[in-house]
Amino acid sequence: MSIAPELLRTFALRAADAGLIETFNAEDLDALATRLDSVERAAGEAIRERSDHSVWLLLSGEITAAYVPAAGEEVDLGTLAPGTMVGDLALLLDLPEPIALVAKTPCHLARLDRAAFWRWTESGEPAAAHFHHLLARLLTRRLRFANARFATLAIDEDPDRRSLY
Amino acid sequence: AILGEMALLDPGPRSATATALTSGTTLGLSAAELAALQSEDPALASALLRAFTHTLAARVRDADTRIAAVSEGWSREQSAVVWRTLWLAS
Repeated sequence: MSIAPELLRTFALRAADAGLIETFNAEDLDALATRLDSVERAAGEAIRERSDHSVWLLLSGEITAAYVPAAGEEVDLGTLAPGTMVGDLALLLDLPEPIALVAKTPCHLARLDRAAFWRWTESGEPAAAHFHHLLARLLTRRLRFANARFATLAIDEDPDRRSLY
Repeated sequence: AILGEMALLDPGPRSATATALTSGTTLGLSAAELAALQSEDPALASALLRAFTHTLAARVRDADTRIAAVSEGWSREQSAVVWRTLWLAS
């Protein structure tokens, strides 16, 4: 298990453009690289099984993403480009995500397996703590977005439930 | 109870005010102290962050359920923006 550190540095540069990985330094990236599996997917192939609860980093290629609700119509989420990370909620909660991911072009991905992630967390490496911090920061931003939506829509009449904080 | 973890993890405006109803004792952790802890005791920092991330992830999933309940009537574009932001890290 591991992936070439240069590939991960390129991923980080692209992810930085999207504001994703700014808390990571070069040493963290090298530590993360040793925990990742390299995975190739052909165009048209599903990126992950529903039971897979890993984090995936898109190194090259493009992915089509769709929201698949338990009931109702699928919603096209567009194309994911290199520098994208997906699967963090599945990893943290050990639950499937309602997101279908299909390779639009041949793709090269780095996969952080759930078991490997928790082994890394328990290793006591500073990089593992930094990665956890990164995940927490991303989740916080999403909750702020959701709170703004709730405030705009005023969808919840109970003032105690209006915010997710 | 834990208060203020979102501002700790990603500095930004707070959306709630907490006022003591009785006298009591609280423990505080600043962003600088958390950063120092990650270097000095990464295992403890990871354990703390693990608790935060699990709570935050559960809240995002709860937000998904609550938003889904009111999303009927949205355009596909509106829905795509919401689901993309909630479920995709970037």
